Amino acid sequence: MLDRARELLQDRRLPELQAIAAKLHPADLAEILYEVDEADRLKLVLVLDPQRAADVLEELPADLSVPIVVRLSDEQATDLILEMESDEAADLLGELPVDRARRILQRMRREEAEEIRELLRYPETSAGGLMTTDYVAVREHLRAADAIEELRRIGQETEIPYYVYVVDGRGILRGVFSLRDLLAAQLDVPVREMMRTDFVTVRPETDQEEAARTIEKYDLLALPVTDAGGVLLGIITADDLVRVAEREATADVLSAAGGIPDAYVFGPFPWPAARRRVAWMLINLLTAFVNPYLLRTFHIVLERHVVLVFFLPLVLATAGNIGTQSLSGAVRALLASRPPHRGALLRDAGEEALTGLWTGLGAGALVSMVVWLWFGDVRLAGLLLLAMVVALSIAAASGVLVPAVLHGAGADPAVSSGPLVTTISDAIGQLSYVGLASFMLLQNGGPL
Amino acid sequence: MNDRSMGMRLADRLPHMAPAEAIRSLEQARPADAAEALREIEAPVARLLFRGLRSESAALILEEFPPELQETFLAAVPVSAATDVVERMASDDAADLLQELPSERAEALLDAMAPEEAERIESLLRWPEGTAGALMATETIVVREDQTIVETMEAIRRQHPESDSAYYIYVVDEGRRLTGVLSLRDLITAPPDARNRSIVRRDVHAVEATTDQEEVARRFGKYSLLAMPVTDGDGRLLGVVTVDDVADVVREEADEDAYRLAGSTPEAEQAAPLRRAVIRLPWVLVGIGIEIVAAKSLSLFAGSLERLLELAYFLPVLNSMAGNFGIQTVATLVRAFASGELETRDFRHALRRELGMAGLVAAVCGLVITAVVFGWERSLPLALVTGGAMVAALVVASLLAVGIPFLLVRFGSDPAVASGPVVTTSLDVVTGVVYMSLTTFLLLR
Repeated sequence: MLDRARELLQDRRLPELQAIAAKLHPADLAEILYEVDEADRLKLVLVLDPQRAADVLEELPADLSVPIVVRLSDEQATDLILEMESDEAADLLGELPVDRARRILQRMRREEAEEIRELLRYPETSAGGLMTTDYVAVREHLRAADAIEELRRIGQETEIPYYVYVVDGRGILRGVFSLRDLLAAQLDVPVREMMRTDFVTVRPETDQEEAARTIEKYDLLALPVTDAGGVLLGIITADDLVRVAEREATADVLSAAGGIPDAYVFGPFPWPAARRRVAWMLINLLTAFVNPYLLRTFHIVLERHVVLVFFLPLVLATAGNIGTQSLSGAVRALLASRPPHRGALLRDAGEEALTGLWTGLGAGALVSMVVWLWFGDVRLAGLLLLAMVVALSIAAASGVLVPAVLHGAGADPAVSSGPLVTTISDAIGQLSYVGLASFMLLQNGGPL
Repeated sequence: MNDRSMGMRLADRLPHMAPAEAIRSLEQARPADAAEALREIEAPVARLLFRGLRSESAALILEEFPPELQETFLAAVPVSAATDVVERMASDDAADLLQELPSERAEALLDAMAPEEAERIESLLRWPEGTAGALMATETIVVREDQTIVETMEAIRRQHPESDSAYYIYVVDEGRRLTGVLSLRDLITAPPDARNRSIVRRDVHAVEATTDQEEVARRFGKYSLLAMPVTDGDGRLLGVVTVDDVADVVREEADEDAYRLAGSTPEAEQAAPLRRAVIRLPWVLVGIGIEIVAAKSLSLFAGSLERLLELAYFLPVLNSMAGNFGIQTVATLVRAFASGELETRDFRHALRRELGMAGLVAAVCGLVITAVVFGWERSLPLALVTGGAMVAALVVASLLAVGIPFLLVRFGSDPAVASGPVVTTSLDVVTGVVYMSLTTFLLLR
């Protein structure tokens, strides 16, 4: 069906497309929109009914949805945005040009506009940025039958409601019950008697990862967000867990690989990510100048033995790989649990150093054998073995120590460990290889 | 929320209570808080209190512990009581626990259980780890299409009253084949004498039990699901995967990606040094193999290096830049494949994106390195050629770093498999050759 819809859009057969689009999941429709150009995107959104179009817009990243909305009339845009979940609507409005967003808000009813303005106040990575105001709340003096009536009234437009929230006259959250409780209840029972009062809440400024952890810890389907006075502001639903976990996991993986968080989003070229990447590479470039700095000091030995240069990338890359291997383990451990105390840290570093030593022996043996067979130079072979053992042990230990020290100093180990570990492995690679060669040369002056 | 979590505050109070009172507080607390409190207080006391819990509470609290703690706490309870506890756990948690236990103890527990309970858990143990079947729980509420709303509500009260998080009710036919889903909200608001047929939704996102858990996670993310039914090859309903299990899968898979990218495995990081070195060594050796090629190609330019040693000074800088750029690209793509954002047909999009990034980085960093080389060596030609080599190295890095993961996925392999070491070392070969030949032909002729 998905392929059929693609064809129809390509052939501009819009009426047929309209029929088939009504049956597709919004996420699948959104996938089609990714693949076509802006004009077709707009066309498809216009043939859909507003509810459907709103569902599709929610699935698109801002850099795709904003150009669509910008091209709609104020009236069309308002209709669409009113059909969206309030959290998504706020995210979208936040990306629109300011005067445009203001005009759309003005066309809305007061309370609707107020709700969205409220959501716009919270940063996107906070619980407030993640929450929706589409929830079901009833006053505490009502009965089960009234709650059922309220559920009927709000119709199909909300995200999946599983809980009904009980609030007092000032909007303060007093209790919560599940639809399952409601199902089992007699119709004339006051909600006050069926509600649970030992609910967990978060504040809107709470980090969204923390909110997601709370949902997971207590096995909730939704988590209420309240202000300092206990007033119910919105809820975070459990379906957000996967996306928060994805984002968190991606950031972790990239830091462990020695990079910066960068989420691949299918769409136009991501300028903000590109700017961060350029800044990041610039830092890497500056730290990499440690290499020419050290090498220049050893220029005498290099001039006489250019053969040393051939194996320089090998020593540096292997030390770098080992540093990253040990770093990825250490950063993951550091992020997963509380930081280890000094004793455990030194033990971990010692273990990594020993691992590096074994790896250096294994890898160094291979390298020196190859060099010996190839150049017939026993001393170069021995030098490489020794250099690999020293460089790999220290690089491995630095993979554990660097993030821990950064963490101890209050810096985010996930962001800054990468370049530091690379710099250290480079420096140590230079010193243990070219440095050692100079030393050997100075000792007995003969040919290497 | 208070700084000290509710579980910690409960832990503070427990030691001052009489045992009976402490047990009552644990039973009244939320299971996650009770579990946290029991982990905080002294182990012998915790085990003693755990023994005193009613089996329903013990089961719920046990579900909150990590596997190794589950084992020690369950060991504190006599076998008959332990059977009771495991029977009351959610089937997926019970199956996970039995998998962790020493096999004779697991067997003893299964033997002591009611046969149908034991069968239910054993049916879960049959699915290989990493599949939807191993992830699901068997507690599902099922009804038939021709039942009335009243009958359905009755069925819901009867089936699995303890599982609090059942939001969907699944509709099956005579052969237990899944035909649709009901939501509690639709049920509550429907007229009582209507039949399920009138409110059933047919567009259910179901997976087969053999589906890979990564695929399950991708669909949860894509369709914003809370739960997904699991069926056998004939469409018969077997169980349900819930969103909390999927969040764990995402983290687990990310862990694996992180280690694999670096050429290691999660198991390696737990092993003793020698064993750890042995597990990591294969990819290190592959990297070294590629670096020997790099050494061989550099040796072809020995004459150039002798005449212009400065080349050797700046080669590591170029290598480091290309390597860093490459690994960043690879890691980004690996994650995008894992989350379902990327598919193999998006190759051109990914290539355009990364080439664009490479272009920007090359423009800025190329200028910087040109300036630095000029400042250091006072040679404009050398500075310009080094800057040019940087641009070339970054472009090649983006091509290689996009190409390798796509190729791996194309051939059905995990794109994270040691992409890191392979990409960085291969780039060393290319960068070395590019820099040396550029300088040889442009400067030294």
